[in-house]
Amino acid sequence: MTAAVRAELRKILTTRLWWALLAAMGGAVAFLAGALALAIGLGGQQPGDELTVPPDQLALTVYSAGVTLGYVFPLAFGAIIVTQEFRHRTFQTSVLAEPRRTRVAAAKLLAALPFALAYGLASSLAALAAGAPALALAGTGTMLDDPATWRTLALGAVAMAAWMLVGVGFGTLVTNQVAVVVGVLVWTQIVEPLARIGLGYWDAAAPVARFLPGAAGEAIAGSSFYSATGLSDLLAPWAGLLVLLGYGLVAAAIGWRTSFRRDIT
Amino acid sequence: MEGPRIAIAGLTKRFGTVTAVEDVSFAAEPGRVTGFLGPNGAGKSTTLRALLGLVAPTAGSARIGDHAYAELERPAAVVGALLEGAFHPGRTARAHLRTVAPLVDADDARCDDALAMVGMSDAANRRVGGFSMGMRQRLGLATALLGEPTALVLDEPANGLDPAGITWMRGFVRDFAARGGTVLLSSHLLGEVEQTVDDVVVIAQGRIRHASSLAELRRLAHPATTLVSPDADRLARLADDWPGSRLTSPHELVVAHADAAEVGARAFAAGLEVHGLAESGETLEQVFLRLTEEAA
Repeated sequence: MTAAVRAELRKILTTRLWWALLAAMGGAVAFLAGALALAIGLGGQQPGDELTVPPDQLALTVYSAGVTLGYVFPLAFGAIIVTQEFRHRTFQTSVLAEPRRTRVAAAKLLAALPFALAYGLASSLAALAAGAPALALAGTGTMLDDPATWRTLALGAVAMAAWMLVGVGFGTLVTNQVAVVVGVLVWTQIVEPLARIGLGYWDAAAPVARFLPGAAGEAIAGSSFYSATGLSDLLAPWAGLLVLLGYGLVAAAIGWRTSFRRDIT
Repeated sequence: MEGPRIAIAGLTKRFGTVTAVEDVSFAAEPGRVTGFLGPNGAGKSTTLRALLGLVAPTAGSARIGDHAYAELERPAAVVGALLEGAFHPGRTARAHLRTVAPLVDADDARCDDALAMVGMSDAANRRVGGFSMGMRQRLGLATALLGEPTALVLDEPANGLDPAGITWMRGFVRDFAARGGTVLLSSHLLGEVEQTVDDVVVIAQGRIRHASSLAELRRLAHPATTLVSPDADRLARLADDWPGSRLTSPHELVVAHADAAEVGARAFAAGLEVHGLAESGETLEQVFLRLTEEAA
C-alpha cells in the first residue's frame, strides 16, 4: 500500500497541475477576499443598502472567501488527479502495476490528503493576507484579535481540504475529464448559487438549502457570504463536514463499484 | 533467467452481444518467442488484456506460471507489458518511469538504466507530449523492463518504429528469449516478425486457427509450379482445362499442388513452347493469409 501511495504522489508531483491550480486558487481567493472587504466594507456604510453586514460578520465573510467562492479549485484538482488517468489512459499502467484496483483508488485518496491540507492552508493564508489589509483600508475592523477569526481561518482550511476529497470522489464517479470539469464549474458557479438564493426566498424549502454541498462547506468554516447577508443559514460545523464528506464518499463508492471495475480496452 | 510459462485456456470474452474472442487456448514457452498473429480486429489485444488482468474474461483463464496475473505479488516485476502507448503528455520520460517505479521496487538508478536500455537516455528529461510514435514505443518498452521481468507481453511492438528500430527491437526480443525469458508478442503482419519468432499462434475472428512452431508453419506451404510460355493462347487454354491453376500474366501460369515434372508433362502434351518452369511454394505470408481467411 505504501508503494501504491508513493506512486500516486509521484503522479501528482510530476505534472504541473498541482502548483498551477494552487497558484490560481491563491490569486483568486486573495482577490475575492480583498474585493469583498472593500466592496461591502465601503459600500455597506451607505444608508438604504440592502446588504448591510455588521463588522464582525464582514470580517468572517472575508476570511472565509475561499470556502464560499474558491472551493472550485481543490474540487477540480481532486477530480482531475483521477480523471487524467482515464483521459491519458495511464490508468492502464497503474492497474498493470497494481491489479488490486481498490488499492489504486484508496492510494489516490491518501495521496490527495497532503495536497488537500496544502490547498486548505494556502486558501486561508491568501484570504488573510489580502483580507486583513483590505478590511483595514475600508476602515472596518480586521478582527485579528477575535478568536472567531482564527477559528474561521482554521476551519476554512479544513473545508477546502474536504472539498478536494469530494473532488477525488466525483472524479472516481465521472471519469470523463471534460464532463467532470464542466460539471464542477456549472454546479459551483451557477446551479448551486441560484438554488441557494431561490430556496432562500421560499421558507418551506430553506432548510433543504443547508444540505447543498456548497452550504455544507461554508458551514464547516461557520461563515459565508450567503449567511452573512441573510440569504440562507448554515448547519453546525461538524454537521457540515459530515455532509460534505458524505457527498464525496457516496460518489467515490459508486465510482469504485462502476468505473474502476470496467474493462480497460 | 527462467521465464514463466504463459498459458491461456478456453478464454472467451464477450462485450455485450459482440464476441471478441471465443474459446482461445495456447501457450508461450520460456526461452522462446511466441508470435500471436492475426488481422486487425481478430481479438489479439483482447486476449493479451485478459491475460494481463485489464479485461475480465467471460469464461476461461490465463496464467503466468501457476498464477493469474492479478494474483502475482509484484506482477509488473514478473511480466513486462507493452500495450498501446498510455502516457501523460506533460510528464518527462524519466518522470513517467518514476510513477511506476515504487510498484516494481525500482529506484531512480533503475529508471535511468531502463531508459539507457532502450536508447533514450538523451530524452530522459523531455516531455512525452513531444515524442514521436517510435519514442513512445521505446518508452513503453522501458516501462515494461523497469521491474526486471522474466516475461514480456508486447502488443504490436513494431508499430511506429522505423526500420532501424524494428531491427533493434528484433535483436532485443531475441536476446531476451535467448537468456531464458518468455516472450509473447502480437502482430498483424507475419513478415514483420518472421525473423523474430520461434512459435506462431494464428487467430482470426476471435478463434485460434493454428498453433505450431514457425518451422511447422512453413511445412504447411502448398507446393506450386510456375510455367512461363510466349504462347498466350495455348497457355490460356491449359489454364481453363486445369482446376487449381491461375494465370498471373498472359505468359505466366501458376499451378497449385503440382510439381515441375507434372506441369512439364502437361505442357509438352499441349504442345506448348516452354521458356520457364520453376517450383515455387506458397510464401509464409500466403500461408498465414490462407489460415486467417479460411472459414472457421
